[in-house]
Amino acid sequence: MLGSRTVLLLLLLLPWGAQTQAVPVGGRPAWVQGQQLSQRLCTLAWSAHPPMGQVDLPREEGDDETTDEVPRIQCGDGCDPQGLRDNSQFCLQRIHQGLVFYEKLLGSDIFTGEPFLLPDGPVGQLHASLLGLRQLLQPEGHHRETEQTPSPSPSQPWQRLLLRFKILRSLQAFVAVAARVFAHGAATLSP
Amino acid sequence: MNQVTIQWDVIIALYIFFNWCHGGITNINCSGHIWVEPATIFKMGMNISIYCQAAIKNCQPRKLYFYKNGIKERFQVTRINKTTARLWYNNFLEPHASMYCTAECPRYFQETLICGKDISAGYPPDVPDEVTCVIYEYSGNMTCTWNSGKPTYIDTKYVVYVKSLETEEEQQYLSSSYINISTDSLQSGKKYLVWVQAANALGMEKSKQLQINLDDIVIPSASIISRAEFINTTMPKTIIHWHSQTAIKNVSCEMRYKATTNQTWKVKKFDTNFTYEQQSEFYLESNTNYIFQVRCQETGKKYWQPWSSPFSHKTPETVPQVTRKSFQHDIQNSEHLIASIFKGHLTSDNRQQDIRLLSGMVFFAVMLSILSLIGIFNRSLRTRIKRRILLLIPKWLHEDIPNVENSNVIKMLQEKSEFMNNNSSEQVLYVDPVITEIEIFLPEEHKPMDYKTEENTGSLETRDRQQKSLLTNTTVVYIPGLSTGYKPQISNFLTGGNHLSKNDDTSSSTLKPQADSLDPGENARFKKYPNFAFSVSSMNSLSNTLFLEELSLILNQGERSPLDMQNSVEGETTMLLEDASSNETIPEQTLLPDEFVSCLGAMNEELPSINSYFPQNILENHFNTISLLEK
Repeated sequence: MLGSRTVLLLLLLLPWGAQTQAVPVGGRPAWVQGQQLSQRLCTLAWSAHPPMGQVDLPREEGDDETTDEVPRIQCGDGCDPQGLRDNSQFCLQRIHQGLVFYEKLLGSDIFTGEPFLLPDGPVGQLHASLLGLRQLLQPEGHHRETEQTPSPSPSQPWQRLLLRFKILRSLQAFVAVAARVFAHGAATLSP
Repeated sequence: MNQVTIQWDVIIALYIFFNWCHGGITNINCSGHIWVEPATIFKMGMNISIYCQAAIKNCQPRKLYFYKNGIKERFQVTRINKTTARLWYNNFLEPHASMYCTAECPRYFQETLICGKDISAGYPPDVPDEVTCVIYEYSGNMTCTWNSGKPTYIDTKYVVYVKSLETEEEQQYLSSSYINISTDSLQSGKKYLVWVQAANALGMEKSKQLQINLDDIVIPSASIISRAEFINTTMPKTIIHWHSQTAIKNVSCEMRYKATTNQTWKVKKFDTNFTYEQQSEFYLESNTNYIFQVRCQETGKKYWQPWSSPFSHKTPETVPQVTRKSFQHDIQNSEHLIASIFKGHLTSDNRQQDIRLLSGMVFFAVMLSILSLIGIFNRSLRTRIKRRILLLIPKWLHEDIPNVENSNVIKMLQEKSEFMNNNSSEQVLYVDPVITEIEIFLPEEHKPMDYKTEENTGSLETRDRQQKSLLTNTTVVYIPGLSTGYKPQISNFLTGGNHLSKNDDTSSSTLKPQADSLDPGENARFKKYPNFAFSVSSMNSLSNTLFLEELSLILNQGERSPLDMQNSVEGETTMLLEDASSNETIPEQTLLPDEFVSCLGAMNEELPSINSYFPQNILENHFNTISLLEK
């Protein structure tokens, strides 16, 4: 009985336990560099998919009820000014986790398959910049999380049009908050 | 311990994967059905119908919409019943299209996705023809190729059938354009039938059967042209060296070559044994770029090697004998011949011509010397010649040159000289001026401080004064020096302290004085300098010129030099860029309303709000709202 409870507890903690393994530990965060990279990410995320794009994203039935596991910066992530002042590592870990998630998606067949995008287009640049910020937050030798993150299931071309829209919109919100975190860190926490 | 770690990692991976599979961001949820008639893959140019049937909970669709490649289709949409609509296309010609349909539900402003489908238009495959199977020596494979015909635009598979004529055993190989079959798998004798079957969603075709004997389809190992050698003999020739690693004894080869300017290949054929490196001779035109290629086959067999990669060689310039021959045929070549002879290229023929020319010149020189000696030693002859010449030419031509006795100037000089040198024991009627220094005539009160008085003789001083009197209207005097070549020009310094500034008008012919005599404050506009290129003094002037250039730059700070202007422009540009960068809007700053990031809005306050958080979900909702409002 105790064992099953322990397993259940472990399973509940798994997402966070797994994700904390690959985030930076110790060292002073490079706030200014992070600020620059995150600002560029913001710009690229919006240029990759402007809000007035041709594709109108329809809602999907059941969206309201279900909750996906997309990494989001939430209240308890310590990304508020007080949380950043106390220990910025929690927030940076959360940002790193999200970057890993989106980096994997940008490299998947959703973005590399048909209909093909230009390799040096906004999405390609976005992918490269995202990699840069992720590497800034990830010390050398920590690649387990990237390896463990599975690739999304293969998609059909008609699905990719819609999935790209969904992913980029989610990424826009994520990097917008991340950029504000870095802006705050660069203004108040950097030496 | 390791096992625990591995299990832990597996659990983590599975859990993340499990989470991922439920993540809506990487999946599309369909709420209905979409289908295409006659099929999702159809022949190009057909009429098609696409049906969409909604199955959305608590939604009676008011409208159904179709999208092709993300763009809404506004025509040819027919509502069939409450839940189903049809989109009709006439003569559909796009190879691929992504379709999806949506429904407008009463309770939602946003359209609800029903489902999607990819459609393709193409052609059935053509009959594969030109089936060829060869074995490249040492490859270990039999390579079969064929001509697929026109593109089908849809996924088309080709199956290669290989059937042994001896055992009736049949093998199949799936491919897309060609196939390599290992020779190890062809153990059922040496004779086979080969054919290709092409198939896609729209049809299937089969090629003719090809009968092969494995011994007859071997292609020798590739032949390679290694180098070219030019042999300069009476008939200059080019030798092409080439080789192959083939083990086949009887090989027939072809070498083709052409000038790069030519379109027509010339072909030489060889029966070859590749025990040694091959050498082939060619008699080529000089100074021409040629391209060589070679290919071989086993003698008497069907298949050739592909032509080797082009080997480029340029024949040397100027081979007169050859070009002389071609002169008879080609005007262009004759021009080349003439040009080449005058270039004096060191060939043996040119050497002969040179010797002839040299001997002629020597002969001419000897004859001239003999005649000269005769003229020198035979006085009577010389006198006779002189008299004849004097009789022939006008008188003024055989006067002493320069005969200045009749010159007014010289007469005046002589008079003055006599007057001045009455006491002089050495009476010089006229001496060609030999003056080594520059002398500047200045009024005493304006003589520069460092002006050096020349230590001239009295006669020279007298002559200088005469020159002064003679050259009152001349500003420049050229005086030959003894050893240092030409001296710089001497200018008549004008009276007045600010002489340099007055020299602006005549600056092109004025000598710049010593640099230390310059008063920067008074000579701020001094820009033009005489250009002296010789003698030590001219070197000084050059250095002074450079100095003045620098000085001019310093002194003209009031004016904006082009460099200054450039710097200024650059500075302004930099400022503009800085301004631009400073004014550059930061996307996340402008795109995020502060009310959605209240916790960061209070980032500079001492005490953060109790409710401070980062509501990314709210942001995403906000983006949705923006999209809807834009619609």
